[in-house]
Amino acid sequence: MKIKTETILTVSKYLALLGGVGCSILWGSQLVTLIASFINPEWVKHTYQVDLNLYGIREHSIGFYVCAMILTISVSVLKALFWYKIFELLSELKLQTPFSREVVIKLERMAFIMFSVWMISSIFWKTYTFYLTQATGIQLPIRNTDDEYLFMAGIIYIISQIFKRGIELQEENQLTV
Amino acid sequence: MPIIVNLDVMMAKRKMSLNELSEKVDLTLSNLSILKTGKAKAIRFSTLEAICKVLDCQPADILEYTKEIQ
Repeated sequence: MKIKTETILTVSKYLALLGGVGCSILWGSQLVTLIASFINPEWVKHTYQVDLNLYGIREHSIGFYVCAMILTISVSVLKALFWYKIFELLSELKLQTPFSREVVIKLERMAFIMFSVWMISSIFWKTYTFYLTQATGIQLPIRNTDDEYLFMAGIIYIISQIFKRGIELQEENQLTV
Repeated sequence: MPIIVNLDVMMAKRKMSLNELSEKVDLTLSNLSILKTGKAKAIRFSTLEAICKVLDCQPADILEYTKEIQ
């Protein structure tokens, strides 16, 4: 049973690393497209995994295009960071003494990253699309699928608080004579 | 904490060292030290019983309650 849990942990750790590398490729390619689009605007059409009319925005206003790309890239960067945090967490997690302050700090950071993803992709994006429509008349689809990140942030924060209580219990147990 | 451990007082009265008590009650030196310095969060009845037996005293001789000064 113990070996099985450790195997699952190891497999999850490398899957998280794979997720981090995947997201890094995503934001890297988006950044390259953004830089390349200053030289050749046609590159905008080849933006990786973005199904928006970015070329239309680029043609209309470079400021709005850069803003859209910054929002998209920051979400991708945060997602990559989240995967790397999972990898770090799974690397440091010891099954014998799972409750440690480092794990709690990492979980709280992960919750904050998820909350930031939700903030950018929901609130900032909605504000951006509102101003874009007001200024240029271009309408972008509102992403409603990113609300799950807020839920995820809440769940991770609750888990971090459970771990905090776990540390207290662990310390109490160690200081019982 | 409002509970004060007077283990050192009782040990001095019985002229017993920490090493000797540790051997007699079958507790590690570090655990006894935690108890003596008042860092312990809890004490098992079995531990209290063993200490009282070895030091020939009552639990009240070891533990004392004082009101916390705000």
